[in-house]
Amino acid sequence: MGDAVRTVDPSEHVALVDLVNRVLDRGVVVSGSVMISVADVDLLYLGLKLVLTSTERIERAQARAEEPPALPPSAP
Amino acid sequence: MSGLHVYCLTAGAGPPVGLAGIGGRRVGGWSAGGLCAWASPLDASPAPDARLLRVHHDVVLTAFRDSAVLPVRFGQWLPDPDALATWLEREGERMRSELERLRDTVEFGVRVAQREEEPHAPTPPRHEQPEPREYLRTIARRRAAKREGLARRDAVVGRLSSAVGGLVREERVVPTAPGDLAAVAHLVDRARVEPYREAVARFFQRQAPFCAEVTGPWPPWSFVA
Repeated sequence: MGDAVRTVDPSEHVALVDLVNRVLDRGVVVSGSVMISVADVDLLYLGLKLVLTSTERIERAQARAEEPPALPPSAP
Repeated sequence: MSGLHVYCLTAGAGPPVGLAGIGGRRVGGWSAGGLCAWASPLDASPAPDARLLRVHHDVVLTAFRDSAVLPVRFGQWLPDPDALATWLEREGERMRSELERLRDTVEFGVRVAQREEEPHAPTPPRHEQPEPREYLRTIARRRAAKREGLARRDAVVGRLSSAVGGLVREERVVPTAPGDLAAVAHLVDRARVEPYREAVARFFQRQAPFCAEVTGPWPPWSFVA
């Protein structure tokens, strides 16, 4: 494929984001429990927490960007 | 008796002898309801980490290489084999129907990004107080830029859907990772994998400044009902 498309075969390499999006979020649910909600603190839990923090930061940054700029001290 | 961590379901094919799963435990096949569940005996549900997710993924891929498979979400742990057999008997018909629907299909993920940063209109430093008219223009520019960004995203996803539509059975919009503009999952017949890849490549060669990372073939994670 050309430069505009990069292809990745999951049997050779898989990014954590693709893995988490599928293995933790999709697929058949047998027991009805969501493991992540009762997980001990571990690498993935910390990783997700970092992602959540990052999302919040992004949302705060977006909110700041949408804030109207400060009004002039006195309108003419 | 130990509990079971379940990896996936097949229509009957069991795991190869010697396949190791989470914790190095043997992956065995538990059959009931016309299904075979690939599972490892574990005393408790494993806490997820990146390494265990990859082990789970590898077991599902092993099943996927040789047969139709329904991937099971990580963390599905049952307290004993009887609980698994009960679930397989209860859900057997629905799961067999899903296996049949997804037979000979694979999933591809397409993450769309924009190559170069769009030039931004210069904004005055925060400490400078804009004139009222400039203040309103700034708001209007920001709102317009946001609308345009969303419209570009919707347009590129729509054009991609049209370009590969004849080669894709189903499409799901999936959550985007930071830095991505859009992400979709496509369900594709195994026999159409190469035409699909070529169609996606052709499409993005004409879509500058957009580019894509295509991952697959995956088991049909995003299409299990």
